[in-house]
Amino acid sequence: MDSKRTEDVFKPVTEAEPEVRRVVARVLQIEQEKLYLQRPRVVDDLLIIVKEEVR
Amino acid sequence: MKLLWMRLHNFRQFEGTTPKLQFAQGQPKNVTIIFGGNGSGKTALLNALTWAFFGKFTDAFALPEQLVNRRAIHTMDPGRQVSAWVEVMFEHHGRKYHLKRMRTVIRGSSPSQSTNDKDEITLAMADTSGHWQPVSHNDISDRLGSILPVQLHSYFFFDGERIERLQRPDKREEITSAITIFTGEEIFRRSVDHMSQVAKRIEGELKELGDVDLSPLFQAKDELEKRQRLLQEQQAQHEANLDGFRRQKQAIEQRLRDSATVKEQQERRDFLTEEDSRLRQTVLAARAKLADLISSKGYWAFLGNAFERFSDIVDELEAQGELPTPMKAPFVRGLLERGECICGRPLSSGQAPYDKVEAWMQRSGLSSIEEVCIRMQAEVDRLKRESPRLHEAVLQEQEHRDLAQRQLSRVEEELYAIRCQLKGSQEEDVRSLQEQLDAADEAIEGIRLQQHEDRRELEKLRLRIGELDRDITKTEAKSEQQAVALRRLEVCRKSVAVLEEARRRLHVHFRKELASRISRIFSLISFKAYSAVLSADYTLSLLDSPDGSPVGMSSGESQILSLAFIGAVIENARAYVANREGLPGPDSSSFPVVMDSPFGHLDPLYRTQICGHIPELADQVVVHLNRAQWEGDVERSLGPRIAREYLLAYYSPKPDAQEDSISRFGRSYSLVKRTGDAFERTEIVEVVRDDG
Repeated sequence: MDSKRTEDVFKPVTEAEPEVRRVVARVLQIEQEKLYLQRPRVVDDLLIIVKEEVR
Repeated sequence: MKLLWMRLHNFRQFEGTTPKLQFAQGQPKNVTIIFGGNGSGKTALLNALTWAFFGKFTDAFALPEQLVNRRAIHTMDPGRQVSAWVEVMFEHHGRKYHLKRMRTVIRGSSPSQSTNDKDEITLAMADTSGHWQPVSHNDISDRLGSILPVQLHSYFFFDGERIERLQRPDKREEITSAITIFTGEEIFRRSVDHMSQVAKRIEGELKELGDVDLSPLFQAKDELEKRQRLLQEQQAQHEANLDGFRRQKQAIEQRLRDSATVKEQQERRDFLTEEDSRLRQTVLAARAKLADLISSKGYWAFLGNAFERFSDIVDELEAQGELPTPMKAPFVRGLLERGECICGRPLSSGQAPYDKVEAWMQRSGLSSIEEVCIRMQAEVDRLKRESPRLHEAVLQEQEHRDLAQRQLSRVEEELYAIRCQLKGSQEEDVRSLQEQLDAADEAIEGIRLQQHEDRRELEKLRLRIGELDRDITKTEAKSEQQAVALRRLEVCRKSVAVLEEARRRLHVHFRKELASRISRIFSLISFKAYSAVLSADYTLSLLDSPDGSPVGMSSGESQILSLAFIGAVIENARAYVANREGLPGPDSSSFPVVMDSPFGHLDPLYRTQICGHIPELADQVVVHLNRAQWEGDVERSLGPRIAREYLLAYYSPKPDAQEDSISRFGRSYSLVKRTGDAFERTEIVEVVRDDG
């Protein structure tokens, strides 16, 4: 995938408001780390991320 | 991920422990070739890898429950165990891994009655300093899955003769899932799913917070404060009215004093009114004094024989020697001053008897106990003296109070009599003045009563407003929590929308690129004017180029299309990793591809075409071939890319088996040999290459 297309895929993220951008980046990071699991249990971690980013 | 070597032990026809099968690495020679005749164990080798990594087998692998070499079972005594294992050394992200999976069977009374006992898997990882550390058993499949997702195994370890099965509808879901992992789309899909669950949790938290509307509380407080202000204004008005009535009374009383006929009565009334006030004060003071007496000294009345009990206790303790006598210190001092002990011995300073007696004075502990004892005794004596006076004092105060009350009654009676006289006066003026006076008194009493009621209500209002203030503070805190929770919910929902849109875009882009790559690779291999098309659900089909009409695929075309698909998926993953720029997804573009008979049933022309592309399919390629698939154009086309070659030498139990051999780099290698016993077996033999 060339960088122009990468940019296009990420456009909804980069154009989002800062809180959403930060939450999405951290959520993707956690999901990436747990990709190898068939059923990762990450909801608790994601809830913590939302609570940390929106106080 | 890069395969380094593999070794088998008693795995199917590979009896005993095989030599290490080293895999070619690096460019341009990234191909390993394994020659073997039909039934020599090419498919078993492929399945040794899929079993070691995933515990899975390909469709062509018959009787997967029979992994352990037959001769090994036959030579074992009944009840004994025998194992088959596969070990693989591989590298991922610069770290070496050692994987070993083992199947143990217990031999029954006959070899065919042997039972599988257990499968064991171990994985060890070398750290950066080269020390090996085991991966916890519970984490092994997760760790392997992170290196090579299980959903993708049929793309990296595939059976060429059945490759077209990847296109079957029942495989479509598996393919879609595998592709979404490759592209990172799976990460977005899971993010959307999990963030929707987070939003649900926050909705639950909001529900628990309940109604946090502050307005009813503020409204209630406003109403109470309004009433409070009204009552406070009324209080001021009452004071003004009282003042007015008092002045009115004074004016009337002055007129009565000025009247020649009732002057005397009014002056008497003035005196009596003052007396009334004084006596009321006296009664109040007497009551207060009585209350004070009873609260501070009332317990005296209930002491009973406590004084006697105290004296008895002290006497008893003294008798037991547990208390010094109250006179000890002065007594000892007296003896010392007199210079004579009670036994008659003279006491002179500096002599032993004097010091002995004086030692009693030094015992400070005893002297402090003495002091407390004396103080308590003094207090008890005082109480003993004063307690009978309590009754006397109470009686005295009661008499004082009663006297004042009697005097007050008389004053009230006399005042009443004067009032009656004036009210019944013959003079209309006097009568009228008294009536006005009575009316003023009545009004004053009414106002005071109202003042009392209003004060009580004001106190209640003050308490209620305080409660409301506390409720408002609590609700404001809840309201802040609600506002934060609402904001979190909003961010969650927006995140879901953003992730969903990014996933959609990724899907569209990836599919477009994959379709174009498949089409390109297919047209490179195929010499027919067909174009490959990839649908939204990753179904492959062929269209006739001139008119775009669908074409029924032959099994050969289906095989080419599947190879093109695998090549395109890996190529796409490489391109993706190279240009990801922050996008999530697999973090490695290095994959091995192990192909068992990749040409399937293709004719020689197609084989040659495919061979030109196989080394480009992946970073590391392992190809299993038979002699017929190898010789000719395939050998010429693939030869320059080969770094390692192995032969599967098959030992047949058949006495008249046709022996076969292959010549490589001037040496002859057996492909089929007779064993001379009842069991077939295969040996792995490395070909000595000119360049190796």
